[in-house]
Amino acid sequence: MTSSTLERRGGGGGYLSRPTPSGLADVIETILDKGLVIDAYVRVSLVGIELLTIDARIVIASVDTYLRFAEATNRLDLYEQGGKDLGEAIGDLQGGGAAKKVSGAVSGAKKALTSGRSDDDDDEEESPRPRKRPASRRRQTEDA
Amino acid sequence: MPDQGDTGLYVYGIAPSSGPALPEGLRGMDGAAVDLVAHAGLAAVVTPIALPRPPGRRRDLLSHSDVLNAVGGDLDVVPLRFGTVLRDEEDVVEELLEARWESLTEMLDRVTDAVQLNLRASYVEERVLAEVVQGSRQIQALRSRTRQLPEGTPHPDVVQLGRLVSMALDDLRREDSRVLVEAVLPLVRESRVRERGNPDHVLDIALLVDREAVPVVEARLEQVAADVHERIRLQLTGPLAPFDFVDDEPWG
Repeated sequence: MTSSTLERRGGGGGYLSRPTPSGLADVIETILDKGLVIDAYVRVSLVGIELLTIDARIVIASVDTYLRFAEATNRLDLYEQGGKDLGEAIGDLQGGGAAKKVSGAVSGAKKALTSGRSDDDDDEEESPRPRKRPASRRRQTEDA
Repeated sequence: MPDQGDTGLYVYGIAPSSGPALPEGLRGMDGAAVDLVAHAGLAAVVTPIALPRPPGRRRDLLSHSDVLNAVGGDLDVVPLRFGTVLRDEEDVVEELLEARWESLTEMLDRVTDAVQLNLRASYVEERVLAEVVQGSRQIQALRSRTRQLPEGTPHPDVVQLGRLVSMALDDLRREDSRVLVEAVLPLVRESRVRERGNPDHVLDIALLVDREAVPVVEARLEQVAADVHERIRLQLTGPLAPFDFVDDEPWG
């Protein structure tokens, strides 16, 4: 199943995706709050640079999240029954569903960190999701 | 002590001065050519920068990341936090390379001949939610009770359903991330779990990998990705400079 010739970038053919971090969101996630800190007494401050040291990672654990999970789970119902709303349900899960909303909130926060600069481009999209595969019911989990 | 109408040196990271040369033609912030300030076996990777400076801009952040990843391809490097500027070469030598010589040398030893790879695992959401539903009668019952409610209704049953789903996902995540970590840890020098808040998140981990072991790790992860692809997507970023494997403590 796996090919022995690994693509260094782009992950052609394999299941392991190999994105090159290029968008602002990727780069922030990679380097934000990382790296050695030099004593503020020694360094020359860049005015306002502290803005970027704000932790952009948001852990959402609230009733709101639960509602989103419930919503996604109930939409799944349509999907499982294979009714005529199937396509719609999948679209909802992908486009307006829980994961999208939450990650939207996170990237929204990231955007806010650096918005309003003249050199902001539009390449801040989250990496696109791989092609959807039909879910099978092969694996079942035990009753907890 | 912000400066007025002056120039400073932006410092990206610290490399050994005896290592390979910088990548040719490497440019950093504002297009300035990347240079080294060397002292006693250490070399600061720098570019001149005009001060005062507007707040960190998008392209500055990208420059910081690009320079370090380019340098880290062949050289061992200790990345500094984004936004580090010293006044001049003298300060770089005295306040950084000389004053912190010992800890910098230790940090360089730690990352010698190694690069960082970031591994991220995410659930195929609808697939895993289906598993969660099938795995619990309680969730099934709650779901059939709440199915008819209009979306967004904060009914207690809806909240309870979401809470149970969330907890079930946590259990799955614990088990799945354990399996993934066990598959990869024997092949890496060090690892650090990175925190992330997305609900489809399984694992986000930074791996410190010997340069020569990178293809082995890639091949192993390609194997794992093929095994789990119906439920979990794996994404590998890098090689990167070892951002997650340098001391985080501010110097006092």
